[in-house]
Amino acid sequence: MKNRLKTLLNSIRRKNLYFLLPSLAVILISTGLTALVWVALSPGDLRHSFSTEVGQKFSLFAKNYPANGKFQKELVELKNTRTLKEIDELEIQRALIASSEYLRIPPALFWCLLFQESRLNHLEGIESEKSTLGLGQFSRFGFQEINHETNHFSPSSINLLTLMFGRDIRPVEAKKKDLLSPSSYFSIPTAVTTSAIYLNNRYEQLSKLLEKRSIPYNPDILWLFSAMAYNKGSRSVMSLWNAVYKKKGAQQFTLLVNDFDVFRKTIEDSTLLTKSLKRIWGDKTAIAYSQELKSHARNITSCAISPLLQPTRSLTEVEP
Amino acid sequence: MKITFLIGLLFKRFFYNPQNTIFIFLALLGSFFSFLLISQKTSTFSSGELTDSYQTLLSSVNRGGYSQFISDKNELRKQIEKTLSGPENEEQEISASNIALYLFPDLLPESNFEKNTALGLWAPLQAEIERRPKTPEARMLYEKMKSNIWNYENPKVTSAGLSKEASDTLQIYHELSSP
Repeated sequence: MKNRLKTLLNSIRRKNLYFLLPSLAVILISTGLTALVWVALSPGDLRHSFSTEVGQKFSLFAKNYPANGKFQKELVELKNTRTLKEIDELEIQRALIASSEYLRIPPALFWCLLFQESRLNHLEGIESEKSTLGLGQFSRFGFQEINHETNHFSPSSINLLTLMFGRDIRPVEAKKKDLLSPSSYFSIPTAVTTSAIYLNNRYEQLSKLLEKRSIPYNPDILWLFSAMAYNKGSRSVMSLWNAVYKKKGAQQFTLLVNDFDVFRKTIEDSTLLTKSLKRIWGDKTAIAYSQELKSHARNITSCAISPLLQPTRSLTEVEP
Repeated sequence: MKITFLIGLLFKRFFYNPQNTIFIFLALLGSFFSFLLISQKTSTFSSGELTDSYQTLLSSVNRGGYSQFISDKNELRKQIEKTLSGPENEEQEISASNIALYLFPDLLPESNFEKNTALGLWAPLQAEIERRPKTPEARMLYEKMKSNIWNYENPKVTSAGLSKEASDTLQIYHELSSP
């Protein structure tokens, strides 16, 4: 090798071709730089930067909510008929802002979820034998998770209870005879705070799975999936994820958790939703559940997502 | 005509010697048993068979106590592992995956999003219940497991109920944790 290099240098010296050396250096350096830029901007990194930066800078969610005409009309009607009292609405809003800020939940999404669940009636189901109760339609298993299992998902989220009430108010229960107790789920601040923690648990559960597999995601889209998991269980969401990953591959799956259009098209795909749920339940239940899940996701999305991102909007609904 | 004659001649000469006939008989017998052995080793279990084995676990504790349960569970694990490694159809794969999710999540492929949830939310509780069956502690762990599974599948406790596998698993551990 050394001899060959010497021979080459000698031949260059003989033929007086020294002027070629700087050009050779320039070519080598520029090739190296191009390679560096190429590696830095590889597709994987592009996707990553989308999920972490774009997702945080430009929120998908509306500043004013509800963003859809259907829920706006319903809200006005609830207020006009005094079904939703102004004082209750204010209390809900106050607790919602504090919880959302602490847990970084998009307020629009959280408000729309509570509206979808109970039409903001904090006493929903109190007179009946329903299995789900209150603002966030909690079941006894929801209480069990808040009271005993939250450490598994996000230990720090319990600090929100201390911040809101000055102490840990658990065990939280549906205390029908003591509506004003801070431990009663029928008390507005308690219902809002515990529902926020339950929703945050879903987000933690889903985000940890993606992070473990180094799949980049847009947090806003993950919040939409978390709302679906709040209503129909994390298993429905994971079954849908498994179906997309298996049928369409890793790249399309990454788009699903990053691209709002792909998310919207996927939740509108009844065949895919039903097929994924048929892995869990029998045909009849899977079809019914798939319709409910689709309708729930559609309502939450149209209520919480910025009007600028929604295709079927009148101009009056769009913020200037 | 000539070919038939030649084959006939060869056949006659070969079987004329009784040792050859015995040799052929033994060879045929050997290949038959080898075929049986190989087919048994490579065949997977139908989804019906898997469900039946799952059902037997329900009665294992009552039938033969804890040791019977562990033995039946190990047998089922082998069946699930075999089926997951080469399912014959989608139905079989779904059945095996659903049983694996609630009893043997470590057997699920890494690509399955449900695997880590199962490993974190109920597999450790099941292991603890199996370590101290029929105790008040086991009953507390069972209640935790029940809540985790309901929240995972059907947090609103609607009429859809739980999936069959989730429901059967809860029944199995209910038996195992009853003091």
